[in-house]
Amino acid sequence: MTSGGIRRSFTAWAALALALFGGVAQADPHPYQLNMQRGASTWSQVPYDLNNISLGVCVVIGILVFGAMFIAMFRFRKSRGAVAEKWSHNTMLEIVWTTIPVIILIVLAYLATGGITSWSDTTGSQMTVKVTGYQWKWRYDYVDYLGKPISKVGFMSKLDTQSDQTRQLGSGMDPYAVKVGDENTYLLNVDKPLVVPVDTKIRFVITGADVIHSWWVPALGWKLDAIPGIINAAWTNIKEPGTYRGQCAELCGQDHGFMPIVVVAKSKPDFAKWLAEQEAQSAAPAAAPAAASTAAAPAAEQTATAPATAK
Amino acid sequence: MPEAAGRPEKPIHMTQPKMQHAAIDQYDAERRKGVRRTVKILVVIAAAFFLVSFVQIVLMK
Amino acid sequence: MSHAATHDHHDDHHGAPKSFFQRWFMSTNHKDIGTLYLVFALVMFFIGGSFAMLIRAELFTPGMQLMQPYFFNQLTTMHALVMIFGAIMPAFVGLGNWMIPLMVGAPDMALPRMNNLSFWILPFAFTLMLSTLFMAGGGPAGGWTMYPPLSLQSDSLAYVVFAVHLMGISSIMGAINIIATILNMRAPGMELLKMPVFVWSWLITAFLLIAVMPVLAGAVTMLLTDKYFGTNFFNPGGGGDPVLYQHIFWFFGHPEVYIMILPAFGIISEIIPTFARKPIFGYKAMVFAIASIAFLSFIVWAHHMFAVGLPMGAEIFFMYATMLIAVPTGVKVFNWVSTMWGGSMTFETPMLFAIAFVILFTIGGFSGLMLALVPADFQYHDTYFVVAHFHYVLVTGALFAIIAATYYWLPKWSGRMYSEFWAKMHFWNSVIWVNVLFFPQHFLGLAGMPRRIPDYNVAFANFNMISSIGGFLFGASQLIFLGVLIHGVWFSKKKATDRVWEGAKGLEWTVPSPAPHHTFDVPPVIHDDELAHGHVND
Ligand code: HEM
Ligand SMILES: [Cu+2]
Ligand SMILES: [Cu+2]
Repeated sequence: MTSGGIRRSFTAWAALALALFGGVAQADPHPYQLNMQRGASTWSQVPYDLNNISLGVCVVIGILVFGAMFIAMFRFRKSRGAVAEKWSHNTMLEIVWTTIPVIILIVLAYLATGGITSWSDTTGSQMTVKVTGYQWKWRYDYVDYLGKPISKVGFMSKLDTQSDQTRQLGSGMDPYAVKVGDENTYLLNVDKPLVVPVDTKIRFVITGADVIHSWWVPALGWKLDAIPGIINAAWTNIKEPGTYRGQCAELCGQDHGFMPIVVVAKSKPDFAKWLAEQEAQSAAPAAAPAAASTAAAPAAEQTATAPATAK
Repeated sequence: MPEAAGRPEKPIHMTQPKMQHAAIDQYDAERRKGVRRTVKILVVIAAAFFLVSFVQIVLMK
Repeated sequence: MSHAATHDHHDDHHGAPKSFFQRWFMSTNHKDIGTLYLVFALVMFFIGGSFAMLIRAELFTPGMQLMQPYFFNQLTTMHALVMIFGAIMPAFVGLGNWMIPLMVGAPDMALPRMNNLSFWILPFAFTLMLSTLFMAGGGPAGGWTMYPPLSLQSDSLAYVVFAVHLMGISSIMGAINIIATILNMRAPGMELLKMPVFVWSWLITAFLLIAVMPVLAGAVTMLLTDKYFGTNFFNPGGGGDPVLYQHIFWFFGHPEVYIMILPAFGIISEIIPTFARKPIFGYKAMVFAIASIAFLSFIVWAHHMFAVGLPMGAEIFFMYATMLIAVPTGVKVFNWVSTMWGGSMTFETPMLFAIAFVILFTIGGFSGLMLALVPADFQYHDTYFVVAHFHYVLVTGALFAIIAATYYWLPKWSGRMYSEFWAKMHFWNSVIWVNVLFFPQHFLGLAGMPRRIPDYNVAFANFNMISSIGGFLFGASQLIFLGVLIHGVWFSKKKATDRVWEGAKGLEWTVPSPAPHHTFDVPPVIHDDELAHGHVND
């Protein structure tokens, strides 16, 4: 093996080990990631735990059932002289293997029901953001923060230029070269991210402008469809400042794969500063009105902010 | 009908295409009647479900 | 009925029309029509498979290499429509056509001419649908689920809707025929609770078809009128509701997925007892489990819609109902294992596929259970985790059962034994590569890769490449299948015996191999001990 080969296989094994045991050490998604991420919000632990518990239950049942099958396949082979028995019924067994699954299911259902209840409770939020899905970008409008209405802070958020050029058929550009710092952000970066504060219960109202989209940031633990004519509500409360990336999760036409979502969570003071800047910008006469026609948001606004970076 | 005597070792349940026995004719007639009734009922079920999909729209409005 | 069984000079085509056109185009014979269905399904399987190869080729590495995203969406849409409506469903109808009359001792299907019509609609329906790929606006690209408003943007909607109508009519006629046959054409003595499980599974499936295909027809009709006749069923601009479409679609769609698996349950319940040489464990429980799964399948549809923003009560109800299905499904798996326990097993190819079915279908069931948990589904929904789930239940479930059935009954159909060596090659290649193909997709979904995307971040590159390699090799393995079939139908020198398999029981094994053109013209005399479930009272 060449030294390059050794290095590569070492990296691969290290990545695998990290994927299995580390999880938090690097941004998600990462190569060889095997499991769901724990997420970064107060609620995102719920799906993560349910995923792990139900997977565990399935693995145990699987070992028992497939184990029994393999034993049967070994012991009761005609080639080993096995003679077929005649029975085809066993009431006791049948009762057992109907009841035990029922009990397991009740436990899982109980846990999941708790999760749904807490997810559905959007009351007591300190901030509201309106999310609108367009073919093929997102629009964010800040509605209120800490009880005060916010006017005219809203913008389109679409795939960053570098990813967009790279992803063209026959571009000859390398997806591996699309990076922000160390992180590869190919198809997971936008021109202008959604900026929110940490430790704040944020209510999202989500809708669609043309067809159905779905707003999904795995670190927040949920996705919710953006449906024209319908306003859906969900909430999050992010624990750690950081950059969280996601994608549209409902087929919405040709560029469905190219409308990522980036959420930048800032500390409360940083966020307040950012918000003030935005408000000042939109108040300035030269700035484009935030509620401008969606399809043709002015180029100035699109390029004014640098692409999202980590933290 | 079960347990007819004198069954051959290796059963081949076929015979000439023409059926002559009155018993078979009657059995056949009953079958045909049953088929007609079944088909009628099933067609009604299918039509009902087709309509239900529209009714659902009206009800959920 | 002593005149049954004196005739022993049957040739293969006893009573079959001479001319090729008459025999195959004007056939009213359940065996010929069954063959037509099976050949059609095989052709569709390869067409749908070639779409899948293109999809996996584009997904081989990050970056767009081969096609525009819109064409990619056409491929995923067409792949699903062709596989579901063109391959899996017609294959089961073909097996039903061939085997149900043989298994219940009927001379033919109850409505032979309608049988011909239900088959011959299909080639036209699929020509219509596939032709859209060559039209200026391209084929449908909104997914097989055809959610509005997206599906209303497609220029080929009308073609697809009309094709779906045709397929629906074909399925409904097929289902009516099957029910009428099973309820009225059984030989005297073939009581309902002595019928093979395969026949039971088809009886129940046919009821599902009759209930839900009209609902699909209704849903797509509304799409059509929304697009072309100014109605506003689903158009929010005119007061319609796009979510309503999803309710109607999945009221069809979830029973539909059971339409694709219940006959598979039946097949596996025939094959395992044969090769374990032991009667099926809990015959009545098996039948009851199928019936209860069918019933439950009508009240779980919204588990496909957990992320549309349903009211909390609805999410909880549909979660509980969905989880309930795991109970009868579990019973079936436990019963198959218990059938093997204490048997005297041999491992011919049908048995190998059946065993692979039990294990791999169960893995698909496990992921189904995980998907049923609403908070977890908020993460899984519309990711590759779902793609992995439904391919485990459909490819290693439904398709493996169809392949198992083909190996199981082929000698009865053709009168020749297929090559066991090459069939085993086909099995081992299929079972290995299908896992290389689909297992990593669980990881991709968990890591956050959405489904129905033509390109992805480099973090997803490794598993996508592995999956694509598995896909190409799985696809190539199916060429072995084709070879085994061609050899086993026309060229094999090894003649099949009437019973074919040592442990086989049931009426279909009492007729010669190949089964003559006409069987059971006169009802057979039924002896309980020659049935697989003749003496059942449990
Ligand atoms: C234990 C039994 C099963 C359970 C609990 C179950 C559950 C689910 C759930 C909750 C989903 C929705 C996932 C999502 O979109 O977020 C789903 C999707 C799906 N399931 Fe199952 N499932 C089961 C068995 C089956 C079987 C037997 C089949 C077919 C043979 C099947 C075929 C499918 C298909 C095709 C989809 C995806 C449909 C689409 O969105 O295109 N499932 N299943
Ligand atoms: Cu989308
Ligand atoms: Cu379902």
